[in-house]
Amino acid sequence: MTILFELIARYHQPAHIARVVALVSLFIGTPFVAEAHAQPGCPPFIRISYGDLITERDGSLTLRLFIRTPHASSVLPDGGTNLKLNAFYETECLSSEGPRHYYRTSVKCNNGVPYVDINSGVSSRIELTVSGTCGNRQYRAQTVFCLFGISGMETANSMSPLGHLEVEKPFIHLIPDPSHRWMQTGETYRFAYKKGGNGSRVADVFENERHLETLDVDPAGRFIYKPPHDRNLDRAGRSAHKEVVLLIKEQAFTGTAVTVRNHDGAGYIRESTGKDEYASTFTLLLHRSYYGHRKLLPGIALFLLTATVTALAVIQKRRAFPW
Amino acid sequence: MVTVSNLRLITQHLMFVVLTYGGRAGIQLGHALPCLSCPVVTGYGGHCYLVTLQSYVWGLQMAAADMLTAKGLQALYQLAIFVLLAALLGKLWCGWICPFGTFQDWVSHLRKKLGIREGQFSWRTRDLFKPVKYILLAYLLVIPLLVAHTGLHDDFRLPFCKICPAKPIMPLFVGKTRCLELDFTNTITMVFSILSVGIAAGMLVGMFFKERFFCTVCPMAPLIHFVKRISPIRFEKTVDGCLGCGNCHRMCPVDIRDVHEQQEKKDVLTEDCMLCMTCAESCPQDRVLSLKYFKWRLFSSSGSYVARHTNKGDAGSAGND
Repeated sequence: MTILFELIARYHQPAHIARVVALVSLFIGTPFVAEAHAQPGCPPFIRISYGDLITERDGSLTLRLFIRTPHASSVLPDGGTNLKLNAFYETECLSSEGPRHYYRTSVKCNNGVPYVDINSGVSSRIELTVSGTCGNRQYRAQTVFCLFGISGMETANSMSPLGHLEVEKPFIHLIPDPSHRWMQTGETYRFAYKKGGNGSRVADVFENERHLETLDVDPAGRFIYKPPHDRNLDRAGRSAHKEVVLLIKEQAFTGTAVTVRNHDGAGYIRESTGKDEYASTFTLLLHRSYYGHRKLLPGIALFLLTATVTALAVIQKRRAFPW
Repeated sequence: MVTVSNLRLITQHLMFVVLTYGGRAGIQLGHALPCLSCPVVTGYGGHCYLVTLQSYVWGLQMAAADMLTAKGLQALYQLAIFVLLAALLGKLWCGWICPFGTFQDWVSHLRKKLGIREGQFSWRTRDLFKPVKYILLAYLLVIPLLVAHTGLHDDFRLPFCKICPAKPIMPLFVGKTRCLELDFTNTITMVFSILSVGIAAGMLVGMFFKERFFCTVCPMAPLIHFVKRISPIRFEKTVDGCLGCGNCHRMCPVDIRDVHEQQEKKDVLTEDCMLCMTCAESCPQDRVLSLKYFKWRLFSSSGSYVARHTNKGDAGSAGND
């Protein structure tokens, strides 16, 4: 403002003042203009957050998964209804070689927080995808988990499985591995990012709103994440867990062709371009490393030492004549 | 000629192969076996009920709310299977089937081959050992309940498995050394892994110098003994015919003196007995010691059996040296 008054004092002609005011308003107004382009009310991304696991009376398990914005406490505007959220999941039976089944599931809302309930009565690996749209911003949120139900029914909802369902691009695909049944820190997770636009070069890793690191994504969309060990998880116990979110954002230019008629009736095609934004997240539910802190050599040394000491003690202490 | 000792030896080795490697051939005898068959062994053919009993899947660590669900029914089902198996074969599980028992017999056999004398405990030491199995049983029953209901740290789960000597030793038969590792994840895991490896080493030495050393403290023995009343297996002594020679006591690999000293009761099956039948094989009196299944007599002591096998030098092979 001081600068503004100085300028007014120096150039007190109305033309000059008008120029200065226009310049200042341009600088001040730019962020608001930018905000208006990013569509107010649209969160930068959505992510899946794990809720409670409930054992049903029939032995099946129901896992509640919440759909949240970057901030854990925040709720989605209108409970996510303006995002047009869709959820479906893919199940793969772990105990037998069987076909994968695809189910669509409804997104419910509780106190402004949208959620989905996934049920399984058998041991299965489940890949959940939630998609949504807000203006020109498209969201994908995914996660993979295992449920070990014992009712024998694949799903308690008696939903008929869909045929093969092609996931709309872009999405983050976790390349399956047997170790994913119990995801741990210190393991290597390989991902393939199926691009929607020009392709992003980086993936950001978040834990509780805290940015942890940035991963490089190769031109083919592949990237690797190896979560480091976490002292808090190590201390907390075997079933303690934390959520880590991988985020890939990219922009894609989309062309729309519009036929325009001249006043003489002749037509020509005018191309206009729009800019779509994609925000894809993948939530990893990580437990502490089961084998990462184990050491064989000290174990063998302790075993041999104890055996030697015990044997010497027995030989030393035992009576010469038993009776 | 097939003797009881030979028959037992064949059964033991067959069951060792089935329970240790059977899973690789598709054999699965379930999760409620009354013997120490460790599930950590990759490709096991059925595992110990103690694991099931402690676990949160079908055991005591299950939350109270889950008891009324299908999970609770599964837990009862596993318990029923255990009671049925323990009742059907009783202590034959210990002497004839348990793979860890077979391993202990191998270690004892090695000692005999090396010509090292077996260690002997005083009666006072033996009496000191007696309550250990009950203490271990209480430990494995109480700790999972505390984990489930009082918020005891999760790393106390499967408390007996954490110190069971079978866990570091038995996986070595499938080339798995992972259970000999020390776990430095946190203080609890480190203490338990040190205890596990230390106890396994101490027990290995113990079972080298003393036949079936671990069986004297095994918490499975009292569990099997609880179902003795409904078991058709009977080990009986005809008190009138006993001359009191003491062969049964001298030959017993686990130093049971009750068979020798019992002068009133017919039933001489004690909780430490593993029904190896060494005592019956060495008893020179006809039908003084008998193993019965319901009313059928499976094996009885006889003078002719002792005479036949003593001449061949068989009868004393399983006992002392």
